[in-house]
Amino acid sequence: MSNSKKLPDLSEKSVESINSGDRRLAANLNINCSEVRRLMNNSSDLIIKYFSSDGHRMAVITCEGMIGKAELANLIFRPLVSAPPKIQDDNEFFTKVCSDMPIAEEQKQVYDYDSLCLYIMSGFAVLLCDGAGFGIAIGIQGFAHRSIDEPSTHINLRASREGFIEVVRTNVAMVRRRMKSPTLKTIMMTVGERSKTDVSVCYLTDKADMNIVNAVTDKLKNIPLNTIAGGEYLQSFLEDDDSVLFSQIYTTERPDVFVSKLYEGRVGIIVDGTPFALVLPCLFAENFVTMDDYTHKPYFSAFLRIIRFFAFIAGAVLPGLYVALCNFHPEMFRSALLLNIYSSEQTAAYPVFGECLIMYILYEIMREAGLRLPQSIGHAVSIVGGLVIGEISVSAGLMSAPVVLIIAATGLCSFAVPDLYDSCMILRLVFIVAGGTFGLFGITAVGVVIFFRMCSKNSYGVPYTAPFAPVTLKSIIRDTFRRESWKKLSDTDMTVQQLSGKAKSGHGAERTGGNEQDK
Amino acid sequence: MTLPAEIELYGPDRFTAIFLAKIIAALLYIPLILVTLRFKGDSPITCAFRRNKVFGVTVGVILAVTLTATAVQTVISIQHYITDTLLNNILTISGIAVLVAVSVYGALKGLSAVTRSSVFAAAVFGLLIILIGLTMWNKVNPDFIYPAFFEDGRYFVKCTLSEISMNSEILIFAVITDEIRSKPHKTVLYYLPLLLVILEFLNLLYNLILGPYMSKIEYPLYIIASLSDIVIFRRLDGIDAIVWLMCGIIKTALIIYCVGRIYSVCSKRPDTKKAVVVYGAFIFMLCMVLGSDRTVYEHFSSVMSGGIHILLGGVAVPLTALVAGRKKQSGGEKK
Repeated sequence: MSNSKKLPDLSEKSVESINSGDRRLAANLNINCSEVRRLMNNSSDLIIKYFSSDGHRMAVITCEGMIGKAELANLIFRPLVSAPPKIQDDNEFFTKVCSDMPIAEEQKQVYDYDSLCLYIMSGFAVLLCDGAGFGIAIGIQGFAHRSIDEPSTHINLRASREGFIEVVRTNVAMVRRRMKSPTLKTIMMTVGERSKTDVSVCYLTDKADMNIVNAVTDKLKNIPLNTIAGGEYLQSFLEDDDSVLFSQIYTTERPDVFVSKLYEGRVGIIVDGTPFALVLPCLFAENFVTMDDYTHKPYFSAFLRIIRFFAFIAGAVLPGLYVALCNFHPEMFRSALLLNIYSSEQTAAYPVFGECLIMYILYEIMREAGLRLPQSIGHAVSIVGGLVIGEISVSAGLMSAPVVLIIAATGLCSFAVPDLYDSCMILRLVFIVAGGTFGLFGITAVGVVIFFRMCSKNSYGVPYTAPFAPVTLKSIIRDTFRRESWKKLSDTDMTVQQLSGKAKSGHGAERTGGNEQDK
Repeated sequence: MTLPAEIELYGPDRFTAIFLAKIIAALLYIPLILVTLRFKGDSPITCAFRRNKVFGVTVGVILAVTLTATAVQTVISIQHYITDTLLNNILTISGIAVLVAVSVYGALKGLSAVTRSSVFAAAVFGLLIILIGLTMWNKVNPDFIYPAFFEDGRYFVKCTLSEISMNSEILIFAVITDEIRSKPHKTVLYYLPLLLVILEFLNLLYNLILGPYMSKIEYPLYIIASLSDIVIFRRLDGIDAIVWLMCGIIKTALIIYCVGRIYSVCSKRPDTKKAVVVYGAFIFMLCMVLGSDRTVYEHFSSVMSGGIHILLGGVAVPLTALVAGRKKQSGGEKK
């Protein structure tokens, strides 16, 4: 694919020769413009502006809305029209423009139609000249995008308010701003046969395991998708087994979290068009850690983490446990509680198992409805849910009050660990069925199956359940259930590679080269 | 791993019995440790197979038979435990089917999955002990502890033999030493003292709380747990049941995995999934035959409590392999 061609003397700028297509540009402006129009199916957003510079016929090809109009006028039209090089020959003139007129920071020579079209669609302005068999792609992207804003997920009280946005280069810059180290390396590559989505792989060269980095880049290169509309599209290709209930890839909207993960030896992936960056390897315990844990006092952080662990377990198991105890082991309730439950169940129309299932499904429907609807209507859903489903169903004798309470409480619990919400939701249903069928025996059997499933997974050679199983006591004490004070944390660095059970060979994938550009 | 249904005798004598049993168990490990030291971490079956195929298959079959007996005993004892404590009206077929199915699933997921899961079982066990300690401290009676006395020598011997027969882990070690990353003998050296401490501690707990009633009770920890009151729940026997269930499933999963491993070594086929599933079905059928009648199971259990499977698979096989096994040729075949 790659035919290396010597560039004119453009070494002072970040200029790169792109010559990957077979169909080369002609030395005729009309032919080139017609061909571009044809290749882009005469799309209405394609703009070709012809103009003349000192008698040389030229054209600027852009995509509507993708470039900065002021930059186009100031950096391209004004210098070319007002002070062009005084050269008669078209080719020499255009080469001179390319080499001696620094138009923009990003300026690349294009020799084929495929690259030319790709640049246009990426927000570059491509300058063509009659008589010259190449074009100049100028980076004056000016498409509208969301400004840097507070993340909508992973809300924190004291940590940074900046979140990733949809523009990959801005996101990479936000990472760089937080890690001014030469060891931070980013590899930019394109993924998606048609969408040609920019993907940036970030890691710290002195922390990350190169086997993991190579495995990630290899997997990214071989993703067979046509379009990448979000980072989540890549997840199933990056995970060893995407059928697992818990995701083996951590997603974050926060650059500070992203940088701290890189510092722990992980590899980060930022995908253009989505504010969520991917981080791997991912451990189960990471889902219980927030950025605020590092801004609070250690004892408070430890308390919050234990609360989150408890909330997750309760969110998944509590309704199933309630059903199991009511149906099979009522002797385990305290006498007063048992009497209350008994009297409540006397007025309910369904058995506990059925009640729990119905309430669970209703709750999930309400949540889904509230999530997708506009905010104003979402409030109405909350009122309907809170009053009608909760209050009226109990007073009408359809449901018992303890079941409503249990489902509501577990709903709250699952929100305490938002990263595991979907896993928690499914587990809850499974445990309700298991508890209703076999009581504690069923719950234990399902629990063991989940443990087997979780423990069998390795995220890029690192056990998913580390540091709990296999036990890495140092990590558990240092920064898992509790976290050490910053004084102690700063004494030693700990990376994922130091956890017990880490496969010595890693993934072992070798880099095979490709279309990544090392920055 | 001590499963509740296997525990038959209790009393202050048991402190000494456990201690003596663990010393004997440690001695029983010596041939196996010597095998791993002489053959650089290889299991008896691997080095026997290296000598010749018939020898290897014979060793494999003996180990598989002893492991099968242990698996059947474990599944049935857990099934009885469920029937006696948690679900009185559960069908035998349902209980055994669920237990075996979960164990087969664990075996299919691999050794790492099963061994790592045991950490969570240990955590639940630790939680149970802490909760019992917090809630039962006022029921502890130090008068129940007095020096061991041996009024009946047969009782003591029986108790010791029973404790030794519970060390069926030696059979599992005999198969999986190939796959233990650290030096296998080190694992054994850590494991046995830890087990000794846990068992002695549990025995202390039983004695302190139950005292003279202990020898009359089949599931002492369950009874202690059921007496607990932790404000939210009145009893902790549910957690106790969960612990033993997890232990039983994990042990059965390990055994099924080991038999799959034996099949892999003997047949030289790395994929053991089908063998594991077929073996799971075989275990299920055996458990159904032996577990449906308590009398049959009691006969089977009394044979097992003699420790014949330990002597055969855990001592005789490693000793034979030690004498007749063959070392790996340098630069020869790879594991």
